[in-house]
Amino acid sequence: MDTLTSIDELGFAQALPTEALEDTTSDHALLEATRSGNQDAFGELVNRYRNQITSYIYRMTNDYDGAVDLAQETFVRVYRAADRYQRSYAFSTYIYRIATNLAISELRKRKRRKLVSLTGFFQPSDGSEPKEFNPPDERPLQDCELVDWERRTAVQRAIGTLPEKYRAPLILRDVDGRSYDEIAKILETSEGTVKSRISRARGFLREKMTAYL
Amino acid sequence: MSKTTCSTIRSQLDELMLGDPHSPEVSQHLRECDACRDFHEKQRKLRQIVGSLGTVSAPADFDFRLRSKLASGKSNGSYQLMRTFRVFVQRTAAVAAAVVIIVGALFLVREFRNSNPPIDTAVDNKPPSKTAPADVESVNPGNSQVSKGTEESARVAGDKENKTVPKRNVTTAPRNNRLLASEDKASSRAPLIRAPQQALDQIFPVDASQQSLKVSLLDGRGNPRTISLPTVTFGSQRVVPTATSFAPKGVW
Repeated sequence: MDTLTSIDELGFAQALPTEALEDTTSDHALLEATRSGNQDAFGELVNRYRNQITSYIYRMTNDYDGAVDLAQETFVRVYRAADRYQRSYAFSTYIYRIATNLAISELRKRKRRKLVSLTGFFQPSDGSEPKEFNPPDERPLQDCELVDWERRTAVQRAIGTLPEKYRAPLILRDVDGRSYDEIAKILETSEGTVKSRISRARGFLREKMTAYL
Repeated sequence: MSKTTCSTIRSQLDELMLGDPHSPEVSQHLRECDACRDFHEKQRKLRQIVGSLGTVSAPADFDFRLRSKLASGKSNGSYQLMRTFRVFVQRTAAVAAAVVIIVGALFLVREFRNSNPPIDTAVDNKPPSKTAPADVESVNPGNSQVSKGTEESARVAGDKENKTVPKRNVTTAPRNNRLLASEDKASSRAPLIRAPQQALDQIFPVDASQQSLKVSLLDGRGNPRTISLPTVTFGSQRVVPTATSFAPKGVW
C-alpha cells in the first residue's frame, strides 16, 4: 500500500460517490477496493462503522473522548492492515475484535495508572467491589425522561464496574444485539464461555441495579 | 418445582433475545413457578435498561481527524522502526552517561583519598626542620654513652640523671585521611655529625669492651627503638673488638 503524503489524498468524507458505492456493497468488497487504493471505499467503511465502534468502545471504557481516539485508531489499523486481511471472518467481526483489543488494552493501562475516579473514593476498605456513588437527588422529578436518564446513567456505571471479561460479551449481546456465535468469534473464545460470562454479568448487574428493577 | 428444571428454564430464557417468543415448555413453567416468573421479569427489565443505552454517535470531525492520522503516517513501518531506533539511542546514551558519571565519581573519590594530608610532627610546638631528623634519645648501655643527632640536638648524656623522658609525637589528622609517616630520603644527603673537638675526644675512640654498639632512636610515633650495631671490620683490622679478642687501641 502506498504511503499517503497529504490529507487531500483521502477524500472519503466529503465527496462520497454514493452511486458508485451502493449500500448493498459488501464490507469485503469495500475492503478489497481499499486495498487497491480506492479511498472512497474506505470512507464508506468508516461511515458504516464509526458510530457502532465509537459507541462500543465508549460502553467499554465509559470515556467518550478516549473512545473516539480508540475508534480512530481502530480504523487506522484496519487501513494499515488491509493487505493482511483474510475473508475467513465477517468484516464486522474483524473490526470489533480490533476495537475490543484496544479497549481492553486501555482498561489495563488505566488499572496500571490507577486513575482516581469519583467512585474510587467510596471503595470499601475491605477490598470488596466499589459501591455506586448515588447520592439522593433532592430535586423534584420533572418527567419520565429524567427517570430514564438516571436509570441509564446508573446502569452505565454498573457496567463500568464489571470485570472486562464480563463487560465485553454483555455489551455485545445486550447493547449491540450480536449473536453468541459472532461474540465468540470477536472474543476468540467458545460459545459456551460466552453464554456463561453473559449470564454471570447479568447476575452482577441485577445485584447492583436492585433499586431500579 | 425441582431446581434442575428451574435452572434449565432460566438458562433458556437467558439465551433468548429480548422479545423472542418462549417455547411452550418455558411458558408453562413460568405460569407454575413464581420464582422463575419473578426472575424472568427482573431479567427482562434489566435487559431493557441495558438495551436502552443505545448507540453513541461519533463526533462531527471524526472523519477529518481520521484523515489527519492516516496522512501523518504514524502507524507505518518506517515510523515504528525510527521510533524503536530513537528509543534504543536514548537508552544507550542514558546508560553511557550513567557509566561516565560513576567512573568520574570513583576517580574523584580516589584522588581525594590519595591526597597526602600534612602530618604534624611538631615537638614542643615547634615545626620540624627539614634537615633535622626526629629526636634522638640516647640510652646508656654501660659506662659509655653515645648519642647521635643533628648539629643542634647532638649532645652527650653523661649520667642517668640527665636522662630525659622521650616525648611522643602525636599526629592529629582527620579520620578519613590516611596517615603517611614515610619520607623519601634517597635523593637528599644524610646529616653530617660535627661535634666540637672536645666532644669528639670523649666519644672516640669507642670503647666497646665486648659489647656491640646500641643506638636508641624514636620512631615516627615517638616510641623508642633500639638498634644494635654489629662490629665493623675493615679488611683484617678490627676497630671494635669482638667478644673473643681485643685489638690494640689506636692501631688501624
